[in-house]
Amino acid sequence: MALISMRDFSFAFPGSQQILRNVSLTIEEGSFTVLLGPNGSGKTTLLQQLHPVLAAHGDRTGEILWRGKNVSRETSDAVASRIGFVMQRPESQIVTDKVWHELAFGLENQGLGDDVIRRKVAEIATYFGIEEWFDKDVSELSGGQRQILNLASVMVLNPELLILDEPTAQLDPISADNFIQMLHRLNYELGVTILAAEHEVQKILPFASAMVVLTGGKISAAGAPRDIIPDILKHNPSLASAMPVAAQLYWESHSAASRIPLTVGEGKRWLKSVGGDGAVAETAAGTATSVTQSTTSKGEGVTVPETPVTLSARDVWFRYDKNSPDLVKGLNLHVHEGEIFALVGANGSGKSTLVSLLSGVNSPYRGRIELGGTRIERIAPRELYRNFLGVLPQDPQTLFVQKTVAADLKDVAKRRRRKDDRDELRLQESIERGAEALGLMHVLERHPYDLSGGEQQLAALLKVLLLRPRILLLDEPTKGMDEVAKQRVIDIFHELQRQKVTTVFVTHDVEFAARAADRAGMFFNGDVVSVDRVHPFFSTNNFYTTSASRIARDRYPDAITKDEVIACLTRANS
Amino acid sequence: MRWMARSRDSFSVAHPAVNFAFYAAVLGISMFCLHPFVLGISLVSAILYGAFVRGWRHMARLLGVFIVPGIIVVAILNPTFNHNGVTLLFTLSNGNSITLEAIVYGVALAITLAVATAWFVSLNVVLTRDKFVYAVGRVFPTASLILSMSFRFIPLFLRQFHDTTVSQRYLGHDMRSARWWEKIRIALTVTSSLFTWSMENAIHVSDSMRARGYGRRHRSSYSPHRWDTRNVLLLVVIASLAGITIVATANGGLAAQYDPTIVISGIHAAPSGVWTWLGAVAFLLLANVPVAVRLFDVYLWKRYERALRLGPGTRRQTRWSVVLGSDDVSAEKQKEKVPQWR
Repeated sequence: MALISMRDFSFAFPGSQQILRNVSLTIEEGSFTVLLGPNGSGKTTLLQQLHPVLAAHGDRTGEILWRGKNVSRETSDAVASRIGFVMQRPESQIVTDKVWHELAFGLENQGLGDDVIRRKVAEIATYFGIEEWFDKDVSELSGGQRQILNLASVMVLNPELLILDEPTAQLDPISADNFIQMLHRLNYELGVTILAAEHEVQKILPFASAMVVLTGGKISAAGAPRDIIPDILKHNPSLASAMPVAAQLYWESHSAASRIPLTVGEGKRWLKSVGGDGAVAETAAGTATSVTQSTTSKGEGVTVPETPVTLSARDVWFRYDKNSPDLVKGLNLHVHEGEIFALVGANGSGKSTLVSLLSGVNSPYRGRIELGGTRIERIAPRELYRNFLGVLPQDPQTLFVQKTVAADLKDVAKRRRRKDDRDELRLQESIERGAEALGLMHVLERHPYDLSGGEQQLAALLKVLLLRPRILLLDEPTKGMDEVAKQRVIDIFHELQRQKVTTVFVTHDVEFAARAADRAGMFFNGDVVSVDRVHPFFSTNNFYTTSASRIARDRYPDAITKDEVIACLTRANS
Repeated sequence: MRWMARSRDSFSVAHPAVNFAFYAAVLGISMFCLHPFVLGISLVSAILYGAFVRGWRHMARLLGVFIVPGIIVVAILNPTFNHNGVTLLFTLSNGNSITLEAIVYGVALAITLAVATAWFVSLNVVLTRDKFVYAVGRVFPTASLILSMSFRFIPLFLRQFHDTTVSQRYLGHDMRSARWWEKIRIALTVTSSLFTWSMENAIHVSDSMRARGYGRRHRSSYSPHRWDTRNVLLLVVIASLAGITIVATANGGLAAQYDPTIVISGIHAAPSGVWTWLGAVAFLLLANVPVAVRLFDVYLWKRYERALRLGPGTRRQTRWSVVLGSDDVSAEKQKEKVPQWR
């Protein structure tokens, strides 16, 4: 039975163009629906329109039905109380200062007594595993814990429908996994109907019973994942790269197998089933090597670029207080000029500490960090951040200070160099060129805060790039980005590389690291361990590696990105 | 003495109403009744409990650095401003007279300040932020939600402030190395950015509140604290001891007058009566309720451990001496087998 549905629904903010166009959508009771769409396709607007209280005001046509009945002014409160909503940013939806109070907040709003609230809060805290941090302040929690708290404080109201707007976009991969597992449990054990917007579908899709694709405010496909994924792969190239790697491999190799694989396990089994003969594997492995142009093979040792070292850390130790534990312990890192270097594996405090050290915000208590051969402390701040070191911080919002993206970009471009860039026209031109390359033309006149998470990242990146840095340090550059945006970032990286700009980025996105970087290092326990070129790096890693490598490593041990595996497959086929 | 600081403070886990009642009674009586008995008992008890909660070193430092010098300063300063009193000691060259009454009153005043300072040491630990929010909530439910939201917002705001400042540094706007007119501009930029962020955050929070039914019905105010027998008992004890002290004061048992003549019942110019001793003892007990609760729990735990050690059916045989650790029977055994509670 349909729990909630939209019929021929259109929406526009007053005085602007339509965001949703003739959307018809049905969410079945007990289903787990994933809403998929590129950045800025109207996902958030659609989800908010389904919630009577959160629906923005504007021109609405069409209707929304709850259990087959039109949601009217009289019934909207009743419907709202049956829907739970979790937003993207974990921080900004927490209301109170204590975990227990946050859980009780919704129940207090219903005017319930202490005994009832105590019972419900205890129940929900136990179900979500919150007991250990039940008495804590919310400011002490990690991002993952905060998002679990948001989910729990919505679930305590016992909603029938749970709507989530990119709930894992701001989380590290382990917290994201936990969160998705929790959603699966709610759906599987309690029968809660779930509608979640995501663009990172790899992890969530195996649990989904239905999938809806939204492009440009219109529904372009809807149905069971296995039914519609082939369609997307065939007709929608911009979304195709967001599909599970296994499905893409299956599709690109024109496989004859009847069932499309969605998970790594299914992908592995499928690859075994399509001709596992040794000769093929051997030649394919050879091809893979040539395709990937890997300069190393096992036993040859690590090759390093020949250009001089431009960013180096030697025996760096750091802690925040005299009595707090060391967060960085004897870290060594050498990045060469013009190199693209990925640091993976760091999470929580380790990551932000690392970025703050490499960007000169904090100083190590032992060891030295050098940029271009000079100790970072010796470089005057004025010199350091102008035309030398560009840093993209974790929260891109903190970079924006103007009312429109265009004004913000202009603000920074104005102050990079004195003479040759002063000229208004050249300035405008460089902004437009950058915006064009990053696909930001359509958002230039918007307020920076109104952009989607991925668009904010892109705009912030452009802002940093307009300072013309020689060394670029990026903290989670792809957070919230769709596949198209990621590809644009990779293109920018390569363009910068041609200009001998060094790029170092810290990321959780292994797929992105494998595609974008030359070399990669793993940050673990306060040190960078196992630095290597990306191909040997990911192909020797067993756990911390790309999906493509996990699926195909038995046959093509050197292929780490899905394009490489596809290249190997097509060669083997022909 | 280290075991004192390490044992658990049972009084601070009591119901917030008990905590509030205790501090209201003790501080109120110490402020309004300037009888030397009350002040002395209050000061010693406050230091004792403070030492339990924060440790002897902290209290010793506070005594040496703040309380004792403070007492001396106020005791000296008061007679130079206050010239009331009948017992003239000597006259200053400018014609002002220094009286015994003024000096004694100065000392009493100084000790009152010391008493308040000493009690606030433990009060800071016992009355945590959420107890405060709870107490406000019982009277003004909306105010308590606002308080709780503010306590949520402050750390978030400070972090955003830090992040924005650092981000501006990344863009070449460095506060530390900028000239003064640039500093003003950077400060304005950061402020306006923080303002926008706060507005944005407020919208998200209000969405989150409305989506969870805020404002749709009359709100209740949940408290995780529960009334149990022990809390009720504690409240009754505190109330009756405070009552006895107040009645004693009202009946002149703890009367203290410093001006124009010194009249202090039981000490000077007034006889001590039943009320004097009753009031003093009641106040002594009252001021040491937290320490007593704590020690009682230490005793209970010792007894519990001993019972575990000796097996079932032996709980009754426990003696009070166990508390002091001079257990003659199984001191050796105790060391071997059971991890000591400290």
